[in-house]
Amino acid sequence: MQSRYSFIRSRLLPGIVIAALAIGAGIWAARLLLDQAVPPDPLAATRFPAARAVQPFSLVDHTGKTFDNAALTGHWSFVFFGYTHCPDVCPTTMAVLNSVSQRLQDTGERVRFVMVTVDPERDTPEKLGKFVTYFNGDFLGVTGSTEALEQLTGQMGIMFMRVNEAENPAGYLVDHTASVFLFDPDGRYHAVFSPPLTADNIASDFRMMARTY
Amino acid sequence: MKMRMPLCALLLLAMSAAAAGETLEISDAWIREAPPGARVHAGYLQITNHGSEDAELTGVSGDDFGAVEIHRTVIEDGMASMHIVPRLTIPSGGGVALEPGRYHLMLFRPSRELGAGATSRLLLLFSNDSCRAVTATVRRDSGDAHP
Repeated sequence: MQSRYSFIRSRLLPGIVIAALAIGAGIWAARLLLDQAVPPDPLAATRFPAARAVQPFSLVDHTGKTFDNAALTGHWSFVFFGYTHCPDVCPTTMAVLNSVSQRLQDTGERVRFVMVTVDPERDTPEKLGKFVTYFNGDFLGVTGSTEALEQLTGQMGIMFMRVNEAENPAGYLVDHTASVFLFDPDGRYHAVFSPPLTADNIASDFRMMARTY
Repeated sequence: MKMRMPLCALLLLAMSAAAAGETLEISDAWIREAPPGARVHAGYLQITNHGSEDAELTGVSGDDFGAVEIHRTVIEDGMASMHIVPRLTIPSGGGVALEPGRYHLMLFRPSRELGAGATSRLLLLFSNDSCRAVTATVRRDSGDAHP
């Protein structure tokens, strides 16, 4: 008489293995189908129901040209507020934006990428220029007096705050907004991308927004 | 923290590979190439703790840097700020990733130009007085790999 264990070995076990394989194959197939069928993720960006007008401001870019409301028109602008002494968030964001710019090359849209400094004391136009063009030769660095910067940041609800840490060997740090702001070709504040920022999300959100603009 | 780092180098000389530190696995160490004008590098690595007890990273030094600190980028209500982390716990059976936008090493006062492709030795001191050396490669951040 066949023992229970040998029955398990001879009949049940192969059955279980086949069933498991079948289930696995089913899950795999379902995933494949779902991947194709599921619509793209909803926007990671926050898009305003109606784009907001930007009140007058006037700053200067790293090439010495005025950067004001007019400089935001005729193209989309991704704007990040950072500073060159910032070792983690800012270079990370700038690298992500460079990756976004590569991904958007086939869209036919005119897109500009700008870093506005939150540390005008140390970030001269020259330093800013070297910093931003390290990431992408077309990137623009923008600065101005603290008052002039606040004309722009104040109306957008953007905060930056100098943190004095005496023991910090690099000098002071600046706490600042980590989001990336999108202005539409009419120079209006259109959407904001909040961290975590990925080039994939930003690029796909932008495509969707540009299509329906 | 700083006073203990020479001890780290000494321990490293004295220790064999079989020393207590080997339950900790350190991998993917890299240093972000500093953009022009930036005088501070950020360093990243993964620490996995295969041991049965939690470990604490209490200090870091580097052959090419005047000072190293462990920092954490905190993003709260959209604002990014940096916090010094005096001791970083590496849970037993788990790990901690130092990666862009989160925990990272602040590498101050580089003593030489560290362009992409260069390597630099970092020394990590843990609370059980084990010391580990890791070679970090300097690279340019592509911007593609972030969460």
